[in-house]
Amino acid sequence: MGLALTVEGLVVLGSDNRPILEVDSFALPRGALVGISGPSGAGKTTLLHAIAGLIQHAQGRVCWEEADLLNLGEDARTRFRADHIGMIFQDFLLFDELGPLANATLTAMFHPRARRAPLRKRAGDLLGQLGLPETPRVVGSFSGGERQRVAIARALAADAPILLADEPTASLHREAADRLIEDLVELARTRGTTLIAVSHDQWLLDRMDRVITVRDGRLASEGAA
Amino acid sequence: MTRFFLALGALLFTASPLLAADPDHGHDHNADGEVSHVFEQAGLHVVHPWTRATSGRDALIFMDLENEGDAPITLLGAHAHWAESAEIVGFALENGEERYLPLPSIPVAPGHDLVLRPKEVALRLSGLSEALVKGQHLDLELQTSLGELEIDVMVEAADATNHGHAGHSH
Amino acid sequence: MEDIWFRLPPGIQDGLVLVALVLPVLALALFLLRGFAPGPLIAALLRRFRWANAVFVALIAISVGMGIGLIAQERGLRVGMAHAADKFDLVVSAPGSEMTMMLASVFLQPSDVPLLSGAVYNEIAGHENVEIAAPLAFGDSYQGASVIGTIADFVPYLSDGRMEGRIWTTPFEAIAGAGAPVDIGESFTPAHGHGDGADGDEHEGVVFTVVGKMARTGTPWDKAILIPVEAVWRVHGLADGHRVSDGDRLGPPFDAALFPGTPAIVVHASALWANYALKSEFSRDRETMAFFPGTILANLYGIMGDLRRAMSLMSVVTQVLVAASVLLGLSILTRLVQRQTAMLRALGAPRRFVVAVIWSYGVTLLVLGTVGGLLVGWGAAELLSRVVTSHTDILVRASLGWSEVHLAAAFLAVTSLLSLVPALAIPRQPITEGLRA
Repeated sequence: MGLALTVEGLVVLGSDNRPILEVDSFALPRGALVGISGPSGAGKTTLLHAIAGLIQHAQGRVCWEEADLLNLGEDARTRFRADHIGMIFQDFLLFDELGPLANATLTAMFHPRARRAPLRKRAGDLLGQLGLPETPRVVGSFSGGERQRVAIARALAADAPILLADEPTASLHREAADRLIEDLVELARTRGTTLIAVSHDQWLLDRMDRVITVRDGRLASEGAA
Repeated sequence: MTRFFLALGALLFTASPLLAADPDHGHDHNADGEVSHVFEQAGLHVVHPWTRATSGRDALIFMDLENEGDAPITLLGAHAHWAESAEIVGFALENGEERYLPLPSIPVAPGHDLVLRPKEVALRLSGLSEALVKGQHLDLELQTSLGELEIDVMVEAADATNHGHAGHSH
Repeated sequence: MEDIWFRLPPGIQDGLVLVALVLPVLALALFLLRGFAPGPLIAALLRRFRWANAVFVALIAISVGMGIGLIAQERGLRVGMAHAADKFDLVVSAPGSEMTMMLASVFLQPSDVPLLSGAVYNEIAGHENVEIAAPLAFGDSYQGASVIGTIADFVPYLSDGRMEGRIWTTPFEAIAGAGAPVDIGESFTPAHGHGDGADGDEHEGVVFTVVGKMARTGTPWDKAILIPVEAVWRVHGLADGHRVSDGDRLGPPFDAALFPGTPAIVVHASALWANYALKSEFSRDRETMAFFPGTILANLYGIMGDLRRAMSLMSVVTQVLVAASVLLGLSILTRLVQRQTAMLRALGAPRRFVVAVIWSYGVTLLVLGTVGGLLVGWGAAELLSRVVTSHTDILVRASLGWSEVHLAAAFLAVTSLLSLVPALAIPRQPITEGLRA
């Protein structure tokens, strides 16, 4: 089951110490599917990174239920991400030299030994659910849609209740993007995963429960799809 | 003033091995106050015994043995209170590695010299009780067919290949 | 502590030094990799940058190999030269340069030297502690091979009794070294002198027949042809050391009055200690000089040792420079995977994991390069050995010994610790910057 998110008084400072993102407050229930939209450079990715606890210097509170990420130490945040957050990216960030299963089980390399076997099993199941049969091929030879599916399997292999996506369909052609959105939404819904996706893709945003629009570093509007 | 005391201290410190050495037998002081480097016993002249400074377990002792008598003299070995054991050793190259192999004894014919020198033949003292410091003098009991002879061994630099008086004649 | 160390057998000491060199690297690897299994990721990096990796490995292998080859070759030459001098316990000659006489007798590079008389020879040969006193008469050659006059006893001594055919029984029979240009049954006429200056006509009408061939000894003597010393004297129009009434008698005893002289006598004593007594007896001002070729060689090594240290230092400097450029190259390469490492950290990989991956990747290249360097060094030494052996007839066997292994291990230890630097730099970058790069 996904986790609920509360953000309060979030301020992210840029390198010139001027705020690049200011969020008064918003909250998401468990298992919500949320889109973040807005013009380029508005601060969407910064918001996503803040929600993932990747930003070092930020004020305010980003709470995944009990865990206030901004007030955790570096190691605790890293552990929180390992246990709770999966991420996918516009250009997949896979290791082209490895096969789909090796990529999907990448996080097993640093997870405790006891968790490796179930993680591998889950990664294999996820790849199957996402329509990627076992193959000796390396992902370098895969299409964009296939690669992003491998990335999703990697993000969820550790059984993360939260999936954060940064422009997951921007590198895919329309048809592949549609199929991916279909699968992503279905996977999130059946697993109860909280999904937050930064996207320009209206097809994707239309399938979300809710869309947050960021403009000039502030939340411009919130709307249900 | 401080500098003077420092200098005095340094002088005493460097001289201490000399002062500590026990010059009670076997060698004389000549007119210059220098310790003599020739030792005699019934036709056997022992010239310039020397060794190298070391902090290791072994030391090789070198010297010239001159048989001025008319009968052969045999070098049998040595004894020193500052080492566990002493033996005569001969140099050999074994597979290119330098080794000193133990020898029983070496006769010196009348009118001839036996020169103990690096990479030839030496007395090896093993199990040194203390480090040997350059400038130090060591007592050594040389054992030959004539009996025992107390000699005084000069400690030269750790990398010396010859005694400090090389080129001089006595 | 020191005592315990010195009492250990050399093999154990060398092994412990190796362990001490490798241990810090293993400890670091254990610390960095504890609880992680980054194998596939390291394999991916190795595959991704395979050409750059190959170049790095080759650079390391060549620089390590050159250093190792140099040391191995130098030791091989030292061992080979020492082996060549094995049979020459003590050499007695007329006073002069010990080096010149050693080159003439051990390495067959003769030059004009004064001769020892028959009286001296007889005194040495008759000494109670002398087993073999072989006169060596240099000066003639045949097709570049030295033709040396000596006594029959020297032949089995030199070859350890390993020979085909037989010892000579008449003055004009010869025994060839394994590499000499003549075989059993062949005949030859020696030329007076060596090389271009050799006078091929001087000994016209003199024909030697080869009756024996010695097994290979790995020394310059393999190329020599041995003949009875009496024949050398006769060919040069001299008395042959024996009365006319003795006919074709060969070998000692010689009549001192009829002994034309010999430049050198190789002495083999009955025991090691006797060598020193003999040296003492035959070191006589203006009359005879006695020396140990082994001592001369060892003193030579002492001088060469400084050169060796200088060469070792240069090769170490080269290796350090190569290692530095490789590490620089690695840090550039790892920048290319900056986004992937940021991704790993975004997915919850600890800093130590990222450091472990990058460090292991670099160390894998270093290990491959070092092992390759041992092979290159061995190959280079082997090749050089063959060249030196064919030019000098000194059998040089290059082998990798402990000192080479220690050098390689030290290189690996230092560079492995240094490759922590680029590895540590990677996770210092903010993850968000890495993801956006």
